[in-house]
Amino acid sequence: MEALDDSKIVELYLGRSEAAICRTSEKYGNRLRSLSYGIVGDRQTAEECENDTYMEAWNAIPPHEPRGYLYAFLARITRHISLNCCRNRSRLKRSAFLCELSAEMEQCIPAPDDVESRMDDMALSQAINGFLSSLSEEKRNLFLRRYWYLDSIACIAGRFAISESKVKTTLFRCRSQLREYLEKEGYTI
Amino acid sequence: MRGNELLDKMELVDAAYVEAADAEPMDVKTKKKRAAWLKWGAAAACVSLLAFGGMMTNRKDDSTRISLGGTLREYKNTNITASELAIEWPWEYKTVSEQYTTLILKGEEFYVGRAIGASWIGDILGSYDVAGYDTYTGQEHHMTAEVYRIAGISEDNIVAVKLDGGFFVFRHNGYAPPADFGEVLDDYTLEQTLPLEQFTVCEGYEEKDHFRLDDDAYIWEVLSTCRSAAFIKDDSWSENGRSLSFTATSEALGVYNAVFRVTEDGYIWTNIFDYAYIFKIGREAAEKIFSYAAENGTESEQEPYMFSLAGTLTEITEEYILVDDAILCADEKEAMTFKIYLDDIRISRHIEFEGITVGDVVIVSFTGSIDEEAGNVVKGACSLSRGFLSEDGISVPE
Repeated sequence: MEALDDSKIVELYLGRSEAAICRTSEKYGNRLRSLSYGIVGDRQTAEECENDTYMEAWNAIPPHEPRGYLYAFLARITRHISLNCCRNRSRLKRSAFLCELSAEMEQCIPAPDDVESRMDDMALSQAINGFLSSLSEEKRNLFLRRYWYLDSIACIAGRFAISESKVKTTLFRCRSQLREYLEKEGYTI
Repeated sequence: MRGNELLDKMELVDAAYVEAADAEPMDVKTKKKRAAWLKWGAAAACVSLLAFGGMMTNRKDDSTRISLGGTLREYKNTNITASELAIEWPWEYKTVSEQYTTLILKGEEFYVGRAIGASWIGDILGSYDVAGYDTYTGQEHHMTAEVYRIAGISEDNIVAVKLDGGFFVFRHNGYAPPADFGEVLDDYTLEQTLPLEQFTVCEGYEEKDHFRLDDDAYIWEVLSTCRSAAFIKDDSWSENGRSLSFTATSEALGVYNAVFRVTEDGYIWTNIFDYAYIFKIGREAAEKIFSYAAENGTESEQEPYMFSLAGTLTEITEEYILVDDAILCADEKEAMTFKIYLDDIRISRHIEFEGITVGDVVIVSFTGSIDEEAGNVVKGACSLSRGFLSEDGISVPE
């Protein structure tokens, strides 16, 4: 069966038709499950996260109407749920991986401290997206594979057909650039 | 804010960027074609003990005769497989070209390639910063190195950098496809830098026969008439009909066993520029090249990507290691002991850092030959891996 257009799927949500979840699952189930699996590292938990994503999407549409960015909208939910799940369930043994990623992210913060973000999400979004727009397409995608999709270095190297050492070097530079960007633009996060 | 919070806040990234990062960019697809081929090449190296193309002969008594860089061996029928190994070496165990990998020249990033002989080196362009990254400590290293033109090649594309007394090719890191084939001929002087000496006749992806050409001048003469051949951007391009797949090894271009393929229906497909480039040269030019190749090609054996030998590590000295292949021999009395010198860090680091020791089964990759007169010295050894004997033979763990 051919996958429905995103806008039609969103219409189904807006019309409160349960077929919306079915169609979403048909079209994006694999990608969402695989995104979650990359974070939680456990198939059963990834399936739970996928199902929770549909539930969240059901509750969030409306008011949201992500006609032009349905996958990104769902993926953001999956990422959020999976990260929380990972932190809440110590049995997943993914804390070391998250610590590693967090430590890398901390290198992007000009003056890391324990105070919760001083910027509201809109300003922070502007800062992060402003930085991303300054990167070349390949670097941006590579950065996002690591810190949005939380891919391993080996996985990124395979995806971009480059060496692991190049991935690490590029990420290192991107982190330094983000820190410099935030400093230069006067963002205090 | 701490790192974990910023990691969470990455969810604020624009949906378009998130979508884009999940799609496979076009240039990466083309790059993967190259990677896939190289992987195939690496895989070929791994199984080369058994499958040296035309060099392998099955024997009646279930043994196989193979050639290790020209040295004939008769081995038991074993499947020898190995996976690609990706060891990230500590800084001090890297060769200088593994340490300093990036050059910024006129604002453009160049990435390190293979070593290049001094005969290719042209004018000096100046001294520039080369950088490397130590993934173990997170430290970035810099040094100033002399950068040179390579004879016949535009410095916008490829330059040579002097590192630790030797020269290394650094290639421009971006995807900048030419408008037509003429641009490539001008920028790289391919008729001088890319010898077309060895080719394989292919039907689709299937390799048929292997040939050698003593003189490629006519082919370049034909190709020089194809200057206006348009660059074709087609990531779904695949091999269908017949083609001649030339082995593209060029010191000046920094490529080793890449592919320069001429198809019967009039295209050139090559991965020598890192990305897959396709040019439409037309049927007429292709026919001329096919005819010339058919008339002048002499049958030859397949060139392996790299030679490999395997056996038990029997001795480690300060200067060399000895590897005995008795475990593979159809007749153990015919066993040979190979000597591999440790003066190359690409070999010695496996002993010092990886802890490969006497008694281990090892696989040695090499690009040269075996000097039997000098005591079975393996020339051009460039990698050593620990192998494990299994029912099917030796395998290398990932």
